[in-house]
Amino acid sequence: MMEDCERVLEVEDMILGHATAADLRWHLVTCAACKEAEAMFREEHALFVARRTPPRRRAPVQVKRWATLAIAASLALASSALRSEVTKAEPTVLACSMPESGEALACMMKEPVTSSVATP
Amino acid sequence: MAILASGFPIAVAKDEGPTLEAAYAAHAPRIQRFLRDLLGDAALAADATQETFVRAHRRLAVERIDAPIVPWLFGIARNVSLELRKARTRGSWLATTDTVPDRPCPAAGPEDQYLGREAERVVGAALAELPEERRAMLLMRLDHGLAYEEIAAAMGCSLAKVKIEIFRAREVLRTKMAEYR
Repeated sequence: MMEDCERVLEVEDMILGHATAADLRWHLVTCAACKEAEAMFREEHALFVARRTPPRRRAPVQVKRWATLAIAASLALASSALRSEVTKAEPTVLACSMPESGEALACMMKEPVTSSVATP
Repeated sequence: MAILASGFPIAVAKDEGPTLEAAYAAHAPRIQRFLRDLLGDAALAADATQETFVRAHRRLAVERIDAPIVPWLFGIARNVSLELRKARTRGSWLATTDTVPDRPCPAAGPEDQYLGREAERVVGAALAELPEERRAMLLMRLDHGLAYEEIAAAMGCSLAKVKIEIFRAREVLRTKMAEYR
C-alpha cells in the first residue's frame, strides 16, 4: 500500500487539500496503486469527518415545545387555583398559546363571569 | 519561509497583537477536538485547550518563532496532554462519547447522527489500541489534515518516523473498519 508508488503520499495530500497538482489526476488514471491508495485514504478520512456530527444532546424541538407547554399549563392552573381561592370561583384556562422559540410565553387566563358576582 | 497550507507563520502573530486571538478563534475547536481524542475527556480537553493557548501566548511574548502556527499549536497541545496524562491517576484510556461539537451541525439528520455515532465507535476503538504517539500522529493526519512535514515539526521527530507510525496506525484503523463490516 505504501511503497507501491512514490506518489501515494502526494495523492493523500491532494485529498487533504495540500497539493493542487493537476497532473496527479492523470497519474491516478494510469496508476493502480495510487488509485487504490486514494480509495482507502478517502474512506478513512470520511470516517473521521463523519464522527464530527455528534449525537444530539438536546431534546428534539417538538419534545421541548410540548414540555414547555405542559409547564405553562401547570403554571396557569396553579395561578388560576390561587385566584379561585380568593374569588371562590372555578379556575378556567381559556387559552394557552404554543410557545415558539425565542418568543415570550403568553398564557391568557380569564376568570368566569360568575366569579365576580357570586362573592358576597 | 515555507508556509504550508495549514496556517500563517507565527512571526506575524508576534508582531500583531490580535493575531493570536484570531488563531484562537480559528483553531481552538480543532485543538480541543485533538486533545479530547488524546485525553478521552471532554472537560479535561477544554482545560488543556486553554492551557495550550496560554503557553502559546507566553512563548510569543518572549521569542520570535518562524514556523507555521498550526503544527506549532498541535505540538504544544500534545505536550500539555502528555503532562496531564502523567498527572492524572493511572487508568486505561477510554474513548468517550461525551462529545462536544466543534462546529454547529444544524442540518444533521437522524441518518447523519447514526453514521456519526458508528464512525465514533470505529475510530474510538482504533485510537484506544494505539500508543499515544501513534495516536497523536494519526489524528493530526486524518482528522486534522496536517502534512507529514507539519506532523514531524509538531512531534519533533523525523519525517521517516512519522510516515512509518502513521502507516502502522492506519493498519490498526483498517482492521477495526474490517471488524465492523
